[in-house]
Amino acid sequence: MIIEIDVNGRKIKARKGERILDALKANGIRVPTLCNMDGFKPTGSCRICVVEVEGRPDLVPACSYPVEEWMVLYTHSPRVIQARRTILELLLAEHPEGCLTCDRNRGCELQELADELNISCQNLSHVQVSKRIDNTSRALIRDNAKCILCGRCIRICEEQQAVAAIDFLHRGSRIEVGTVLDKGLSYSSCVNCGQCILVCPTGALKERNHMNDVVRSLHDPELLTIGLVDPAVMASAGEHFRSKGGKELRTSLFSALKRAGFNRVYENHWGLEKEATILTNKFLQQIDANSQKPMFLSSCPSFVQYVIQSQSDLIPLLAPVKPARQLMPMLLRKQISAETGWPESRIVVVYLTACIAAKPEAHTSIGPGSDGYGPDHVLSIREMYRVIRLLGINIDKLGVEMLPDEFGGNARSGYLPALSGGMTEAIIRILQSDASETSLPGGRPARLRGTREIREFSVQAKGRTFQMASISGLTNFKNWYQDVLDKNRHFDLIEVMACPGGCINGGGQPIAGPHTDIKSRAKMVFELDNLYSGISPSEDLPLPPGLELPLQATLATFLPREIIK
Amino acid sequence: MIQEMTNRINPRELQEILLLEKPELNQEQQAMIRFLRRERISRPAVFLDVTSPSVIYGIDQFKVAVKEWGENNALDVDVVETGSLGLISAEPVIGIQIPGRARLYYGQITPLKLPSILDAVVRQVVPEENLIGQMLMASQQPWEGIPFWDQHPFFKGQTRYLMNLCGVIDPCSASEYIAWGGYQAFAKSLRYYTSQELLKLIEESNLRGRSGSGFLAATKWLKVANTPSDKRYVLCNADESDPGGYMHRILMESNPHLIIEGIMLAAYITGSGQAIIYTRSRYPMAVKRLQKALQEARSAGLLGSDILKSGFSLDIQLKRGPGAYVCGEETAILSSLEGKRGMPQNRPPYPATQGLFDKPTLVHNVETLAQVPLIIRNGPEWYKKTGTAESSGTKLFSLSGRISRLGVVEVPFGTPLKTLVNDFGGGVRNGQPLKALLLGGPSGKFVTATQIDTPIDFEHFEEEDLVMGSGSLVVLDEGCCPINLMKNLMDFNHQESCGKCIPCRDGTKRVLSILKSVTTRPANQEKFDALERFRGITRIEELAEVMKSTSLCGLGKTAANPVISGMKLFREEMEEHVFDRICRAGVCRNLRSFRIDPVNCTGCNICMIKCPENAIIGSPHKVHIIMEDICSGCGKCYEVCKFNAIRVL
Amino acid sequence: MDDITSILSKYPEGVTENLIPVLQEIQDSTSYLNGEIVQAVAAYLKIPAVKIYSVATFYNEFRFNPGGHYHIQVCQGTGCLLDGSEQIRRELMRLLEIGPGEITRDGWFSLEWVPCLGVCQEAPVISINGKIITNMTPAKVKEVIAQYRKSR
Repeated sequence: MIIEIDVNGRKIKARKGERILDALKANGIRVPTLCNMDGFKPTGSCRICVVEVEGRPDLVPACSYPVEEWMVLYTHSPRVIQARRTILELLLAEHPEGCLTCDRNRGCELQELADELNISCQNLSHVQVSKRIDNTSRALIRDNAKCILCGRCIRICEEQQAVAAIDFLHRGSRIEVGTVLDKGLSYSSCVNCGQCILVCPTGALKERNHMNDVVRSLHDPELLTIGLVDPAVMASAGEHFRSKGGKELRTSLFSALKRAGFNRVYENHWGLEKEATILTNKFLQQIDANSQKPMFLSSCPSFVQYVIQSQSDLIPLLAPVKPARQLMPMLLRKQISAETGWPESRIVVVYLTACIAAKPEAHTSIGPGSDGYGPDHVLSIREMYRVIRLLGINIDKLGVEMLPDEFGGNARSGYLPALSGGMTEAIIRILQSDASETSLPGGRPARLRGTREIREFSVQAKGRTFQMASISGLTNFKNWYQDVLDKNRHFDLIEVMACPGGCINGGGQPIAGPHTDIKSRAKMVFELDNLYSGISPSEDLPLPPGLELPLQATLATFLPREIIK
Repeated sequence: MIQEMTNRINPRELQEILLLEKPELNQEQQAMIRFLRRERISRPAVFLDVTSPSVIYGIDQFKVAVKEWGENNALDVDVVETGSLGLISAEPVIGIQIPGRARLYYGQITPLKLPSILDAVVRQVVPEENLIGQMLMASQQPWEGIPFWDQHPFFKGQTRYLMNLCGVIDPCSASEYIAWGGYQAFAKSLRYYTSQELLKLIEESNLRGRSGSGFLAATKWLKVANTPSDKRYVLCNADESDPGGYMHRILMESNPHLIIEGIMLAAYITGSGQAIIYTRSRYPMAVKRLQKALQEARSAGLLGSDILKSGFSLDIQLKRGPGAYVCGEETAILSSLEGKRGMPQNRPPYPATQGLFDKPTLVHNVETLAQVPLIIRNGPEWYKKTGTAESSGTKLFSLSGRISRLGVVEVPFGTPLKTLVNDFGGGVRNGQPLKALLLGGPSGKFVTATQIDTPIDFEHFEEEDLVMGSGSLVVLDEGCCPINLMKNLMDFNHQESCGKCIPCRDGTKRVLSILKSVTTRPANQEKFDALERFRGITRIEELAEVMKSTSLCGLGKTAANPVISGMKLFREEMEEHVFDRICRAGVCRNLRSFRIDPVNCTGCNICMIKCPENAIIGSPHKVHIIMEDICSGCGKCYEVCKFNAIRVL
Repeated sequence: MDDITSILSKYPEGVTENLIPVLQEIQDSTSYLNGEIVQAVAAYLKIPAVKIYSVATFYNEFRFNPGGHYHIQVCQGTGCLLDGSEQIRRELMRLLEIGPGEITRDGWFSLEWVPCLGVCQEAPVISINGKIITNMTPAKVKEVIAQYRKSR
């Protein structure tokens, strides 16, 4: 029911019972918020969004108070502005003053708010806050001194990811966000997906930093620094580079990386396609053996961690295939060493990715005695752009200078795994590559694509029908899979990505605020995929000579690192 | 007929009594009633007040004393544990009754004094020392020339509707409660009235919530009853954690059945099949008594399914709150009952429509629910005769602090505040002048002599900007420092804040630190602290205003009340603390720090001689030193130093 | 651990609203909570472990370390305050060298500030292992502590 309310002296239309905040937004009135997270129930804990309602002695929070007929509101009266300022001052008085040295300097919501409310001087004396930093995890670091207790990370972890590794502890001004028994993230049920980092308004959460190691390596003439770029990196490149098309973006990014000092930069294409072919083989083996059980793709490390912790009965169903990010560094080292004569020990592989959960796989995280697989360092996309900027490369003014290096020839579906459903599509292409009849003309199934988080489809290939599903977001998976079990439904292949939407929304992606445009990142991936539309997916990707044996040896050993731990 | 030993009767017999009016009772039933009321006893009986304030005196010792006396005198004496009359400062209170005569109440009795009193009373002599008065029941013979208990200045003039059985009956005994007219309202409601009819009575009675805001209870009841749902709940908020307020505890320990009946009626009237009493774990005696009372109610067939064949089923559960003052807030209790942190939630939606597990829930505090049986039994017109036009009925207050008589009083609305202090309370202790009252606990405001004539009711209190709260009244004399009290109250609010919203969590912390800087010696000796103090004080009112208008729940909104009212009423004293560093009440010690300036000190030794605490050390002609931890900040050294060598901070 | 299992079995599995009564019953029996208990309750009631820890740390009564042999509680009520409970608190902290919520190194004493104990007529009041001691003064604090120390 549409009603009329009076806001700041002007009549606007609103829907009865909707939140004041939404009604204002629809009418172009901006009220600042801090703890609000679109798509989640409001908590009303920060009180920044308070507005004045005629007839009520106290101010009410716009995020949770419903619109009523004949309401008269003042959103920016002196009383309201004073209240917002005082609340923010109280917050800032306890917030560490180290903006200049914080990861989120110039990208922090608290800074934005202070700017918007025009806090010109701090009347409350500053209190030195020092809280224990949780750096037990090899992927994430939490600094509670910077935490403003908005609770977004808790809600994401519990409601979106079904992990619930963190919650508010204690009470009153001793309240803080922590893990069970205060033991730290590595002892909790955290799966390292990093979704919490994307919603944190301040610098309380960040990924473990490998930037300095990488920069040192880039400058070290004794080392050959190799970059391995995940396709998800390309998806969000448009947010940093001003160039338009996917082709241009690609070359801009690689030029930047090479100018930064990477001796070689490879796309993770070949690896992902190879992974897809191996998965397809394993899949067909399973089907022929009539196992009646679904095969779960295991490329997402957070999903694997989640399975180990919460659904251990699914462990035997995980596809026993080493993911490309663990495979490629080894192959690259061997290949480059053979080509250039550099010893493998002086070849440093840096994996550039959106995946925070890949961080613990870096050798520097694990320490000496690792099994030789995996990259030396892992850089998130955010770290990558910092390195580029640090080394003085102006990404706006680069020309089309350098292309990525080639490994093993072109791969058809190498960009797709950046999205949820992408690896599945790659597998489908391979399955259908030899058949004349396909339900996927031109390799572009509409049903397969899109950013919906739960997708099911039947696929015709090799003379049979396969039931497949691709799910992203762990709560989605948990609920969907429970439903599958309850209704006794059968699936042959299930792909699960912990991050909703897939790696294009990974924990290491640029933090664009609560309105991340995943759709345009997905579009970018499809555009890039079209670059290879002329190539047919094949079961046998040409491998550089001399690598066949090591490859076979590697594939024989699949053990998720976390199980070893 | 009746088992004389156990004083319990067959539930079926009880039920018949419940549905009959007094004139309809036959001889046998009337005799049974008198027996159950202990109006008629066959042996001497000693009534021990066993409540939280009195147990510290050692109940067992009293029991031993009575037993021994009985043995020595070859008499069987019944010992009955009762609740409290409410006069806490007279504890331990004992009631002595011999067959045929009125009961005699004595205060401040020790096990040593007891035997001699018993000796006298059985010989029909009433010792006057420590006597509170006699309590006469219908068929008993009064004692000549002996004052009645309700003429005692503490009790005289009270309107004891809720408190009337407190200290008189065995709190847990359902039969005794029924014998005094209890559960009649419930039984008759089930048998003869529909919930709609009864709801009308509640509406007409003008019943107002007793938790402080005084909202019209009927609004909530209507909402709960009329919201379509398969389940409804009644929640009794017995989580009284107000430091200094104990009226609910006394009521729960002395007459739990009254509260239970109130809940039963509320459940029947609103159509709720489940009720919960949420009380503090730290009230073990109240918990125990409520549990026992509930059990007795169940055995009497008053709880369970198809109660009294009416088709109405109800069970009442007792839940212990694990300790959080914020759980006095209604949405916080709901969270706690759902197994979560006791964090208040945004309203709307209100618990009346969407409460426990999202079902309509009626949340009321102990005192409000205790009014209900009386309203139903006697009717709204009777109820409205007490109190004022807008505020009907009575209010409980707990008196504490520097008052002569401490305890729980029950007064009709409209009674002026000064009556509580001067009449019932007996005035300030030791005849001292009254400095102020704190009314409403940590969310309360100060009341000075100018406002002491204010009648107690919601309208006048709103006009005068006073807070009733749940009824805790603390009396301050000149030896109490309101600034220090403000600080402690803010400390309490700060500790108990749930931490969800910024204005309360950080606001209470900030105001507390400002008040601390005003009432304690500076931590370090730099000008920083003084600046802090001044800057802080100028901002305190603004912070308080923001806390009030933006906090999510009542705790935050009212946390700054003592500060706001204190700053207004005690401005001079505040300025003395801030600028002169003096606490005129002598409570905030060590406000000033003294340091000897080594440049100017000549080692003349005078300060060392004059120092009352012997806090200065030094050899003649050498620079002296003041020992911080011994120095009491009196400033004597500063006064006597001729060389300007003492620095004050 | 057996006590814990037997306590849990009195409650239906997976019913999360019983969390607080369950924890109360367990703590009544074991005197304090620990990681083992949290995990056991988490598995039985099907609540994430951190949520249990979150609920337990919210309320005053749950604790994760044992109290001292003698647990001293000081009333924070307004009546006691006006009669000098602050000095009592200060004196206790000075003598025992611990603050509220802490335990002395030898594990003999622990300290806690509690809401009104209801004995306002004999303020200020403390309680040691449930035994209430009235009309405290700083001098009496010294005596009482010495007395309880001697009983070692």
